[in-house]
Parts: sequence; structure tokens; C-alpha cells
Amino acid sequence: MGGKEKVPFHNRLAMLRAERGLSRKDLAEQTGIHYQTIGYIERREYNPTLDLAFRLAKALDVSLDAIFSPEPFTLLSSDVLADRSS
Amino acid sequence: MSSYGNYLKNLFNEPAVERVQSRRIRRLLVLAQLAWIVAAVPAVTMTEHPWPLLLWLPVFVLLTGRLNMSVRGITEIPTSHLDEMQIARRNHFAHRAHQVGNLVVLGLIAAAFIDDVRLMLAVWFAAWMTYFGLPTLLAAWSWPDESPEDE
Repeated sequence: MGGKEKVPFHNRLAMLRAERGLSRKDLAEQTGIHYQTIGYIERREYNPTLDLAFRLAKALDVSLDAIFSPEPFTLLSSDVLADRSS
Repeated sequence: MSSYGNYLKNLFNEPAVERVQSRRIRRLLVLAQLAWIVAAVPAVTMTEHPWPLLLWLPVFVLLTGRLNMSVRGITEIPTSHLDEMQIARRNHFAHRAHQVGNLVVLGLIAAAFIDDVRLMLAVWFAAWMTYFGLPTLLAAWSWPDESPEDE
């Protein structure tokens, strides 16, 4: 049986959390999980369920695709520079 | 949420638990626990008196407690008090323990052929102690180090 290999999602969790001045413990309390779990997700060592992913998105007040993506995110600085030049 | 579950969750997440959190210490605890379980065999067989086993037991309980602390009690805390990642980890280690446990059961069957009844009982005792502790032992052995920024 050739099951599809599970690939960890790319995420911007650490950046979004830092932008809001939240520690892992703060975000963990808001989402009802252990703070270690935030670290595992940020380091791509654990893929959250859809339920937790939505809770994280709600806590950070962003859409789900702003945090998680199956493809690598582009650098924000590149996005900003591209916007300026267009 | 049960008060017992809350008690366990708080106990295994106290700041003092950090002392047994490094992978090196966790692996030392696993080796110490396994060595202590093996030590139960002569404790049972070397004398007919129960005192060696009575001395053995408190150390075993202490080591088991430390091991549970080292994995933040994920194998002891009720499911309702764990988050999804902790539940996933616990299920993973329970599955691994089941696989490794099959070898322990083979050891138990082999021990049935030992002629010396006291020795056979001692081996069974040690094997059962290993079997029941396997999920925690495997978790403590392979749990990754927490990064300091996890706080």
C-alpha cells in the first residue's frame, strides 16, 4: 500500500505571533493548547488539525491561508518591494 | 474536567519539572529504570525474605514518577486534559509500545520454561514491569528537546 507521505505545512506562525507581541504561552492560552505545541507547529514538527488551525487563525485575526500553506511562503520583503515597483 | 486530571496536569507542568526535561537526563532515567527492573530479579531470587523487594519498590516508584515528569505526564494525564499534539504523541508511543511489547511477551513465554519457579516468577515480574512502563520509557527516550524559546 503506497500511502501518500505526510508533508508538514509551511507556516508564518512565529512571525505573526512576534508581530503581535505574543509569547508562545500567550497564544497557547488563547487557543487552549500547551505552549510546547505552538513550538512544534512553528518548527514544522507537527501539523495541526483543521480545528486548531482555525482557532490559531482566529486568535491571530488572520485568514487560514495567511498562516499555513503547502508551498513555501514568499518573503514578505519581496512582496513589499514588488508592490512598490508595480 | 476532573479535579484529578487537573491535579495531574498541574503537577506534570510545574516549573520544577524542567530539571528532568533535557534529552540526556530523560535517557539516563530510562536506562536507570531498565537497570532497576533487571535488579528486581536478584531481589526476588536471592532470599526468601521480602525485604529486598520492599527496598526495591520505593526506588522504582520514584524513578517512574521522574520518568512521567520528564514527558510532562502525557501517558498518565486523562485525554480530556491533553491537547491534540499531546494526544497524537501519546497514541504514537502507545502503538510503538504495543510493537515492542510483543517481544516482551515472547520473553514471558520463554520464561515459562525456566525450571526454577522463583527465577521464573522474578523474570515474569520484571517483564511485566517493563511492559506496563513501555509507553513512558519510549516517550522519554525519543521525546525531542524543548527549545528555550518555547516559553
